Amino acid sequence: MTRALERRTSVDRIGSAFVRARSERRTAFIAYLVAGYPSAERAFGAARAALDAGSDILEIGVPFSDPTADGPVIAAAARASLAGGGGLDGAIDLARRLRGYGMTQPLMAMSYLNPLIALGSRRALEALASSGIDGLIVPDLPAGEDPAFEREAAARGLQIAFLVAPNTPPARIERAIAASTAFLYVVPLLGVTGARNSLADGALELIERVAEISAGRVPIVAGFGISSGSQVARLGSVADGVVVGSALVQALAGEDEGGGVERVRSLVGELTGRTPTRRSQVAAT
Amino acid sequence: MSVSVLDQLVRGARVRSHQAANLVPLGTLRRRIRTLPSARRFEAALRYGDRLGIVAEIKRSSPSSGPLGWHEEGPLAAGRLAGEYAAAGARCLSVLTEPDRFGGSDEDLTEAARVGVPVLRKDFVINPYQVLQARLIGADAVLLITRLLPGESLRALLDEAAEAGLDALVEVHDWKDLERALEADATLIGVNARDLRTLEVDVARSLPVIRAARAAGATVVAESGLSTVSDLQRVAGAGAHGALIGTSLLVSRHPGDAARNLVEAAPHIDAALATAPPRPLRLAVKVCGLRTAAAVRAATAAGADLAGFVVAPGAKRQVSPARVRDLVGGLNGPRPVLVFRRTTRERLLRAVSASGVRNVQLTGLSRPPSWLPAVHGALDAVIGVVHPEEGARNALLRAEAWLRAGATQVVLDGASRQDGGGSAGRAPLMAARRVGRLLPIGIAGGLTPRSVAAAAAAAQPAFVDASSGLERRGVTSPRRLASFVHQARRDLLGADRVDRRGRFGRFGGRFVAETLVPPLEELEAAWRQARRDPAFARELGVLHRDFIGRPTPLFEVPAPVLASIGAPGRRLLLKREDLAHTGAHKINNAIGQVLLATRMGRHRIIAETGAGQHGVATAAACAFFGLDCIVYMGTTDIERQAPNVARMRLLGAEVRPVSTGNGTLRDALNEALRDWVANVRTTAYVLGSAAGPHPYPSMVAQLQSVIGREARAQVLDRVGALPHVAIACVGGGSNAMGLFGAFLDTPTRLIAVEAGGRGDGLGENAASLGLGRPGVLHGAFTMLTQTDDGQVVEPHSISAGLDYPAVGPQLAALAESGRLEVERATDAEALDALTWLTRSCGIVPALEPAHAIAAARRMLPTIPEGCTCVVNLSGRGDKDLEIVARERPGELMMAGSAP
Repeated sequence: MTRALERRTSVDRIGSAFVRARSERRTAFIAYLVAGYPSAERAFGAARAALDAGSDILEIGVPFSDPTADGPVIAAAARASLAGGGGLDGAIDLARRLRGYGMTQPLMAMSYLNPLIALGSRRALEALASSGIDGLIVPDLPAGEDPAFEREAAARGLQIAFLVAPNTPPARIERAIAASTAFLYVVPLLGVTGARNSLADGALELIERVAEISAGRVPIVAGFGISSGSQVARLGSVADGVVVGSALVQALAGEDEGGGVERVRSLVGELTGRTPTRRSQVAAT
Repeated sequence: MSVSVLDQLVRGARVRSHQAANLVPLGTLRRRIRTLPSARRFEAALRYGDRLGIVAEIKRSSPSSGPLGWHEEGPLAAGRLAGEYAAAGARCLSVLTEPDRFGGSDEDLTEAARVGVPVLRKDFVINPYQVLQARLIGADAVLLITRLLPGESLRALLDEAAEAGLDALVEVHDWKDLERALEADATLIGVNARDLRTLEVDVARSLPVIRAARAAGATVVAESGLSTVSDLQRVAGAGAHGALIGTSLLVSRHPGDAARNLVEAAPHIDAALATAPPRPLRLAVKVCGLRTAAAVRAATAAGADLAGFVVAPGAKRQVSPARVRDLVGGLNGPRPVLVFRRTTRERLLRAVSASGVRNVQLTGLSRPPSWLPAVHGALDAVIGVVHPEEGARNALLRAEAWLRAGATQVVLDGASRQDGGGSAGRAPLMAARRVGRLLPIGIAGGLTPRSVAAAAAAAQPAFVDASSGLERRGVTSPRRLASFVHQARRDLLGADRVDRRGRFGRFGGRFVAETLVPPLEELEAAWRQARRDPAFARELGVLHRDFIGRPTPLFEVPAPVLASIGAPGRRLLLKREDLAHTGAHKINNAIGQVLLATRMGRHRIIAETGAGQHGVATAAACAFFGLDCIVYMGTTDIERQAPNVARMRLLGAEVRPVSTGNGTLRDALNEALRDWVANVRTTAYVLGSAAGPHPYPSMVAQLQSVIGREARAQVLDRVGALPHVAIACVGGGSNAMGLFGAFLDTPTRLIAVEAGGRGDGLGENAASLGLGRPGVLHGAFTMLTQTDDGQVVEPHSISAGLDYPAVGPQLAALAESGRLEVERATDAEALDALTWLTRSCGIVPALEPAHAIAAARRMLPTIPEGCTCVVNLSGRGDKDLEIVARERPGELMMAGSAP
């Protein structure tokens, strides 16, 4: 049995999303939200809003007690989510609810490694796969550091996106490309998550360089620090997809009920350059 | 079954194993097996019992009987039945993993193995893959059916099973089978009363085969057709050690009850030994052929367990018993052994009396001497020697003969005559490995410092012995002796050293954001280079001497003080890291990492700190080297360790408060990592403990190893022997690894003392080793205090330096391999220990090592008089005076002042 057969034989949602975006001559838009933030309900509303407003892929962040790759916005959201009882289970619930609601876009879980292995990686990976999650991003798992984990994810049909940074040497870029079955996540700055005012120096060159090495083997996605339409547009000229995270999470902060979800909807709409479509006329709660 | 049904089963098994091999190749199975703990001893459980052992079987149907009365679906049901069998007293279990005609599965076996009783994989095994697979799914033994394994294949699979650490039950039906099985050197033989071709069962015909197998010295299990007590009596009478019973139990819906009846009625049998001798926890090392005082000193310094003196007349390394008496005076730790060759009872007793040594080794005999049973009562240890050239079964019989005659240990000599390379060379080691599954045996013959680690890994003996391998030009070389002991004691699970992937056993690694991978690889390379550079060593040596003030003294707690705590006659030695510059051991690591940073051209140094000692040490080192220093410190710690904050600022460092989370060490570490991610090109991260991603745990342990090297030499010098116990407190683990690293290859007990805080509940302590679970934090796979769903729990300790929810991965590995003992001391115990040491010795320890002092106070009365304990006093307590004032106000009052 080859690795291809090992994967779920259902449609490769992630790959299809990039194919569709390319055929529509646009960059795929990937939204990131923290499960359980500001609450499980509002995270569900925000997720639907982000998808309705044009996101091609949704990344569901799993809150962790020690988010060393995250800046203050996402770290605070994780803390709030944990305080409200959030965790891996909450992220799995969110995915299940979205699928139950009829959302067919690809869903990815972004989690640090510990919550995924606390009860044994098999259990967590099985639960993720059966909840409708298509892929994983694990920011503290470098490609090749735990081949058994990569095998177990593949065996359950979960695709992985590994990360590369500006200081990643060509040999490691190659390794990440070979191991990434979802897409390659390029972080064009030296630092943690968190919106920046402008693109870091050399960001475009980095993405171009990585795209050249990849030579079409895997979609190239840029993320960390992206918050404005112009950043999205510039990155979109060289990347196959862009991720917006902290800006969306920040939009959810605030006391007003429902207002956060609407802010997410309009921000996504603005960044994707489309008018948001609504699945239902009922305001998201 | 007809030939075609048997063929089908074999073909099906072959297909199953090929499918499995496509997913997980053979090489991967072999690699994974190496990391497994020993399998349970299936054969020994049957061979050394005084009653017929019932091997209860789990299957759901069979070709001969069709579906059985018990056929609950699913592996969990198999697990439940296994539990019932075990509760009923079954000695072992047999689980069918064949799915088509027996309704079995690999998962059934894995669940059954959880119960704790030895388990046999019953399947149609015809290739090595299935043997290795058996080990990985949890089996302790595997069935090999002689009929299915023509030619050399039976022998080959027996060797595979031995290599994988499994027992092999070799099934025979008739004389031809038995002959082949004995030829192939099987030790455990199953006599199947069922003819696999016709499916007919004839217990009567199996009895002579059982008798013959037993006469040849095998462990014998009767299979098939057994259901009544009289059946059991028949096979026991013929010499069987065990009876495998399946169908007759499984026809009922409650096989557990049926099993209990048979167990209770199991007849008595004559076993080769009433019980197997106890297995030592750790490999013992014997160094032999000692003739000089220098060699004896070397044996003591190296911590050998046994020291052999050859008294045989005419032997190359002979010494007289009188001379032995002199030499033994200088032996402190290792037990002396007199080595004889083909001696008489009189000569032996004379030598024992003249030398005062009551341990003897008897070589050059093909069987134990007839006078041994009468004499061994006057001796302490008797080591019998066996030569394994005639295969494992014969070696086993000879070893048992020695033990019956009164020997306390048996060694297989010549077991290592060929070291390494080729199957011929491995055969004797394999024989030792197989006998070792039944009895704790030693290996000897041609072992050298270079070959002993591999030989010990291959044979997994109870002890190793060498004489010529220790010599240079015919004389015992102290260096070779020390090297032999060190190599022999290498941890089989790899906990004593870091491997190429940054792992200690299964712990450690580099679980960090991709951004940090290149700087960590660069750091690893720079460190490797620096270690090999004499200039670096010289510069570090000067800094040790003049900046830090090394070597630090070893202080002995006065005898009256120990007497007053109920431990008279013991010796307590404190390694005074509190006297190192900046008042703690942290400086050893900080100065080394900052020196390395300058070599790497980094000018900006960041560090995290808990109690502030590492921060102060780093600030001091940076001041010395003229570098910018930024220290991240949690706001909670800033408050409780204010004097250190002031010192850092005075030394020119910027102290950046971290208020996220609980504002303690872990939050500071998180923030430092974030800073490094953003500033990798200009910045060196000086990590303060033996935690974090590779290379930090090993690098920090190596930089702190000066503590243990000095302490080992100082204790030997002061006491004349290695310490019996070494104790250190553990937060991240740097001072513990610093001390323990020098004693990993000795018999010294290593005790890690964690912060017990306010209690054992989650969040009340920082006992990640004792109460935590494995997980990934701050770049390493290690033990963490965490919730069930993998969120790290904020620990608690009154001491800021121990207040860390993880622990260094090497300590996790050492605890898992059993080398390290783990204890804890509460906040209250630490405070008490601090004030006790202060008042009784005039030394004020920091709250962190006060935990180790508390544990020492507790355990000293429990160790024998004359024993030595060394404790790492990792820091001074000035920084903790405010805490002591708050918690123990009575201690700080002046005599005569009003309360």
